[in-house]
Amino acid sequence: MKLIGIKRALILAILLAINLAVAGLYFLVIEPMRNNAAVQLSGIEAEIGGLQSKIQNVKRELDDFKQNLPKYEELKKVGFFNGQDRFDLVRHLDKVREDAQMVGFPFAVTEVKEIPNKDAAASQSRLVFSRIDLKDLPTLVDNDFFSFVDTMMTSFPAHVRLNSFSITRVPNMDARFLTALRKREKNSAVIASASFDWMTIVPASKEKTTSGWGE
Amino acid sequence: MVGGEGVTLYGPSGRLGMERETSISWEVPNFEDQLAEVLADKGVGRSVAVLFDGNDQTYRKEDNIPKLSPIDRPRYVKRKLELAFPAYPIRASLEIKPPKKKFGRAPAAKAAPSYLFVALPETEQVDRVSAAMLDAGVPIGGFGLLPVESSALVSELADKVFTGKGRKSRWALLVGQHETGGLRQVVVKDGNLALTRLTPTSDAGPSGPGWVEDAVREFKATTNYISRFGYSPEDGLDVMIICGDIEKQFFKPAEMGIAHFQCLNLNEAMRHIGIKASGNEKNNYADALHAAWISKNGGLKLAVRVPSLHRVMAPRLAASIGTLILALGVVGFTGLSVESYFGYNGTQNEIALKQNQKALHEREYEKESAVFDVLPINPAVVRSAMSVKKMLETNTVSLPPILHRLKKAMGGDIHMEEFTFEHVPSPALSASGGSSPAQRFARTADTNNKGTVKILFKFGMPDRTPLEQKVKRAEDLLTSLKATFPDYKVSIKSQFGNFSREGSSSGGVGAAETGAVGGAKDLAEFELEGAPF
Repeated sequence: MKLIGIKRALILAILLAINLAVAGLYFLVIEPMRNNAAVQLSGIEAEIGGLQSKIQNVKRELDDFKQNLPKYEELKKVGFFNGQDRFDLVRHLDKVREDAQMVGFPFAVTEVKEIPNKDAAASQSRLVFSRIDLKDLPTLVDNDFFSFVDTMMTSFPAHVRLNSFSITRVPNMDARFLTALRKREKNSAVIASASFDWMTIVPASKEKTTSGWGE
Repeated sequence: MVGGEGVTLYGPSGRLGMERETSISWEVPNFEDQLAEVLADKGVGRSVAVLFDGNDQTYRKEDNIPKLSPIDRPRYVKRKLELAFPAYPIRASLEIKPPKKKFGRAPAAKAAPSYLFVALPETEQVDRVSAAMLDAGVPIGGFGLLPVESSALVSELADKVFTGKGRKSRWALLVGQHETGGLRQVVVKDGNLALTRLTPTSDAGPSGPGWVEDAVREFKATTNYISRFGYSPEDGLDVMIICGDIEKQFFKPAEMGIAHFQCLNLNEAMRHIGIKASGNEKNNYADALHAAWISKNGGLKLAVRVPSLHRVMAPRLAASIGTLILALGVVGFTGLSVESYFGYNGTQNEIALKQNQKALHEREYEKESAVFDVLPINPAVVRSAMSVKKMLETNTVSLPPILHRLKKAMGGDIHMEEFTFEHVPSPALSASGGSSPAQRFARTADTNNKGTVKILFKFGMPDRTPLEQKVKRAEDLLTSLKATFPDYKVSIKSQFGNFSREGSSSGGVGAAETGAVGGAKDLAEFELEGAPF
């Protein structure tokens, strides 16, 4: 102590104490206050950003809604939101047959299956489909068959997609076969089959039936 | 100022230039206490430099210093110094600067550096001064040797006093009576210390005609000494004597045999070195001039480390540095705190502003959202239905474009026997919903994936058509299909007669030539695979 003197030691001690006090004030009080305020400000700015985004989304959604509502109504009208009742299926196929001016054909349909889809799930719905297999379609030439496919895709309710088809020319198109055609004992010069997927959206809450004919 | 007879304390003064505060003899019984008291009283926080003007100083010029790197040279010089003065605890060295051109000689271009070695025995006098300074608590500016510190004073004084009085001298001598010691003479050559002498005050006293006689006698002795060091009258010698106005009258310059001789009182000498002073006309002591020179320079030219003094000086210096650092710390932290607080205040104002903005946006959002409450259907349902519908349409093939291209590629002469078509949808529409990782990736990468179309068809040609012609037609069709379906994989799955231009084959020529016989129809089969249009 004598080496540096009491006065110097006292000044050093006082300065050290002031340093500690001011540093403590800075590090323990003011800086945390400022950091908290900065965090608070960031939070409010984020909330404002979120609100602005929400407002934009609401406006955009409203515009989209106005634009899509007629299309939605149209889809509803054609049964896009209906179940795939097998009695209805028969009626729809018969209507297509009539439109295509065909005499008749056999068909087979699979059980209704669900295709996982996040868009449908977002509105508490499920995307479902049934595969319809048509065989021995009575078409005289290939053009008749393609005309039928076109009718099926445009006239069948909801949404129908062509999965596959096959056309084979009758192997022995001789005089006997042509006579049979003329006499209407036979009504096709090609062997044609086709497979379609019937697709609709149904409510997710609707319970599935266990019937072999689907829903 | 510490000398053989005691200690004299000088402090800066506005009027006198340098005021003599007190003088204490070594003989005073309570020397340390008195000195400590005066230092504590007069110091007022200023650092005190100790200028030693005693008899015990030993000097030696060292010329044989080899050229070394700046790192090695100090160590070498230190070692040399230890070897030169092994018995002296107080040692120091000073590099001697080569003479400037103004002295009439150009410096040697690559001369090896010379050093002035100084040494001092640790005397009781220095220890007593150190003890007094320890008690006084004053900051210590350092310990210097008067001849070394004042060598530059002699040069500057000679420059100022003899400017315009003939050729510049290489030698200069300052003579002065010191209160603490005796008659001090400092001789410099080319600006560097060459010789110093201290002769005790005779019975004639420190002033008056007797002192003048002593001074003249000692001055002449000094000129004899410097002759042994190489002085010749051609080199020139500037002689300055510091004395009072009364003593000045007794000097007879004409009898000195020196062209450049000047008596100066203290005021005149101080003015020559740039210090305003008055009231010292009758003062015959020169101590104040040396003290003023040190004060003016603000530090010592050669601070000599004295162990007893260093023990006191080092902690005080450290304390002073610590005080400075802590003071800067206070200023710094205060500045940071103020800046931080202003920042906090600004942020708070901004928060208030943003809160208002947020409230406005909340009201706007509520207003906009209220529209949804009156809508007939939830917009999310409509949106998702449209998305699903779009995805289904993307995965539903339109036949006419494909058939049209196929017809164009085939021309009018080909009639198909069999035609098979299959459309595999994209993973998004598979029964698993594209749930495998690869499918999920594919769906993310390409939402417009339309799936894959696969077409198989067979055709034949009239039976009597030569095989080569049929093969040629099939090859032409392949080329045509590839051109019409550029993005498709097109291939012949089965050529007419299972023929291959470069494969194995059998047959006959001439009489052995074999024609086609009945059986199954000869058909070519084609396959196309690609994305739907």
